[in-house]
Amino acid sequence: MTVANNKLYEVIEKHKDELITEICNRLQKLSSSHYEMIDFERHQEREEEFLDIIIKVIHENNERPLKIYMENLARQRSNEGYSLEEVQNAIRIFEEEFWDILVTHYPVSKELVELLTDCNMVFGLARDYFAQYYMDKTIAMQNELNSLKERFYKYKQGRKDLTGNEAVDQ
Amino acid sequence: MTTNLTKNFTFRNRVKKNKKVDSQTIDKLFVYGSLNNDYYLQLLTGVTLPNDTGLLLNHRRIQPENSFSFALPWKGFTIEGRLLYHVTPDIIKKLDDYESEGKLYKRKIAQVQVKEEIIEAWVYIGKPKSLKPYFTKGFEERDRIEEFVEKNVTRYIEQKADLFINYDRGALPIKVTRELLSEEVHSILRQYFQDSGLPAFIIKHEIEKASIPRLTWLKSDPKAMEYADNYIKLATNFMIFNQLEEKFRNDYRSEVKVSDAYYMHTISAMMALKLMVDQNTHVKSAHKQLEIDRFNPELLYTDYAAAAILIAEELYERDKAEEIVDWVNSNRHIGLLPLGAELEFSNIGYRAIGAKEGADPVFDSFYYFYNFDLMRRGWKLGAHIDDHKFLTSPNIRTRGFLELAFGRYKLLGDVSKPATEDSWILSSITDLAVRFMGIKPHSLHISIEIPANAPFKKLTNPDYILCLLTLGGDLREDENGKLREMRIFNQEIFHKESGLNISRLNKHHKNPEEDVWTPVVEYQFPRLFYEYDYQPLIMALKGFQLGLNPYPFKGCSNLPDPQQYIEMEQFFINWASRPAPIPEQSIDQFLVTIEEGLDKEVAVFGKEHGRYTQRIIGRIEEQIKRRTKRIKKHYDSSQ
Repeated sequence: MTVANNKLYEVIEKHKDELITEICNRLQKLSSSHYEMIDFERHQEREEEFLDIIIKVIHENNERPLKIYMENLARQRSNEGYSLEEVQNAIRIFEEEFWDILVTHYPVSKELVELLTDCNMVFGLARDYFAQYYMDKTIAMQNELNSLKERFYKYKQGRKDLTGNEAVDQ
Repeated sequence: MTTNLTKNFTFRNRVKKNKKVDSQTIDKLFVYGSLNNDYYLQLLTGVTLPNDTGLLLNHRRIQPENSFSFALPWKGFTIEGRLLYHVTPDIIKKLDDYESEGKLYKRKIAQVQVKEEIIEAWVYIGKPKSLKPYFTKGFEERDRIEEFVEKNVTRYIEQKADLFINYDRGALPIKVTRELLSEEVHSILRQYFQDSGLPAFIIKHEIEKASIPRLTWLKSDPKAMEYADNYIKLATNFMIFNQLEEKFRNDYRSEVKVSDAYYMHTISAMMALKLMVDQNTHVKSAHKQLEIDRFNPELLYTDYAAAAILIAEELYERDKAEEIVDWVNSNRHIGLLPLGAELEFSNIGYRAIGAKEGADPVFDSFYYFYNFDLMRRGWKLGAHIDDHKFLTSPNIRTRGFLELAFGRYKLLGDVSKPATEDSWILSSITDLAVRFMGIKPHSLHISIEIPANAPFKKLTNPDYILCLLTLGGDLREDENGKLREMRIFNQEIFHKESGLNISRLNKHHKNPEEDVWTPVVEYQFPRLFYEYDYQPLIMALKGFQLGLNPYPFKGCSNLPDPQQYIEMEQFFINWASRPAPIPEQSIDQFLVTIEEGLDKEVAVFGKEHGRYTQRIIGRIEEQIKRRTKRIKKHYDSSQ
């Protein structure tokens, strides 16, 4: 673990409550999104979990836990009906607040610039893993549902053969 | 003294000597199972018949667990039952139909002992191989009668399908018609049991007069057309849900069954919601693939129903269904007080009431809800529009909240049954319904049925209500960073005429024809969240009611000190605009009160229930204290 990493850990630990509270308050104000409808404490639990992963990845310089976490998260959010844009927005808010804490409380130095670059990379990866899962899932689902499409097509064809092409409720 | 066996032997010899009886002339029937119940017999035949108690000789009654009994020939055994007289060929025909004569049962002549006489009579003998699937599904006698009535209804549904869906006479058009008329079918069934049967012509009439929804009106309503995509999606989702609910109800009868005092669809509805929520991505993709995620002028309403049925068939897999059934079975808990819930949804929050045209860009505040026949599509979840006026009618457009009322199976007359007695079930179905609806959740009303003779007591410590508000209210920062309790602060539960509606005493009717009502206390302050565990709140309310049973704030004509309640309301309004920490002593007293209340359940249901209750009380305490800490932080920083 580098000195910069250690320092980052210290700063985040010290200001964790403040960071999480800010993120949660902003998420609760994201209008027309799932985040707006979630209780503060549920946000707290979720964001604390995400923060722990981010810190771990920066600390250990190992992307694997982030990949696993983001794929699980993508599965959940996709099932819950979150749009890709919604989640990307939430990650952006998290990232902004994270940077804000670092810039405010970390002494200005060459290390800070390096740290910010590292963090930028980690958040970029998080977004990429997430988006990749959403895309893969969409394509896989389309292939899975081909037979269903076929059955509905047959039904529509059969109905039209009898009623003509006109869609008229009788 | 002769034994039964020797007695039987003697009698059989005596009968053998008699002239062989012609089966055409037999007008007697021995009954031992569901037909031995006068109420069921009346339901099935429409008549009561003279009878004697008797013994069916050389047969044994087999009673599978959680199912109905049947008779098998078994030398030396007897079955107690009744011998019915004057059983006409017409009655026999009806009963053959019910017993699926030839398939599930075989009607044959057997010997029945009535007093000292041996009489030949018809009896239905089970065919174990054919009956086996019914036992694994947990079919009981009432289920068989329901199935029989539904079979009769299906006859008329088939006729209707021929008329309205001009497509080959296969299973799909009948399923579509059944789906679109499911509320009417349910109503016929309910009436059938309530009135001890319904004449066939009434069933026919009810089905014939039920309308099949159409979309032709949309062409002449361009404003409605703007919102049509969203309404169509909602209608299709309700139909997929209905199909899944029926599948769970048919395949897991014993698991979804509740006592007659409760709403019969609660558990199966919850299972269907769980499947849909777990498969949300799948459902959405299917909508897209079939191009039913929007209004398509080439499609009829019936086509959307057909698509919904196909999607439900695709989604419903036995292993997934089993997992859900296991999940429900392993989490269920019993309770003393019947519970209910009403969920309000609106994309524009409390502004839904009196909303202007177009204020809600997605549904226009549900103005076209009834035109898209959504009350009939969502009847299993009690879907309707609530504009906070007296009563909305399906014939009048109005803007308001989309409300789900679990257990309310008839909007007119506020006829409902409690959803459940289990706080886990109520919490889970609420959370699942929020995820399923995909519309911004707004508020939650929780109802608790209390014993009619339980006296209300005066609430002396208003902090108890603050404790409840920390569990179920909506504490969040406003745009200026000030912490508020939004339900009260935004005046969402404030009415000009009546003031603050924290809780209310309601009268609920279980049957439209009954004058009898049950006292129900309805808590109106909770916020409906997305992804929320309501169990601590529900258990706290239950414990509060069982432990203290305070006068509700509204609806009590004999409130002993109304002025004190008015003052308390003002205290809550002030608190909501600047929440102050709740004194620790009050929190402790509140916890003791609800524990005392919940102990009444533990006394009835035992130690295991006690451990469950303690776990939840622990979570209640943790939640109140955590939220109080947040309140304190804000309060201190704003001093």
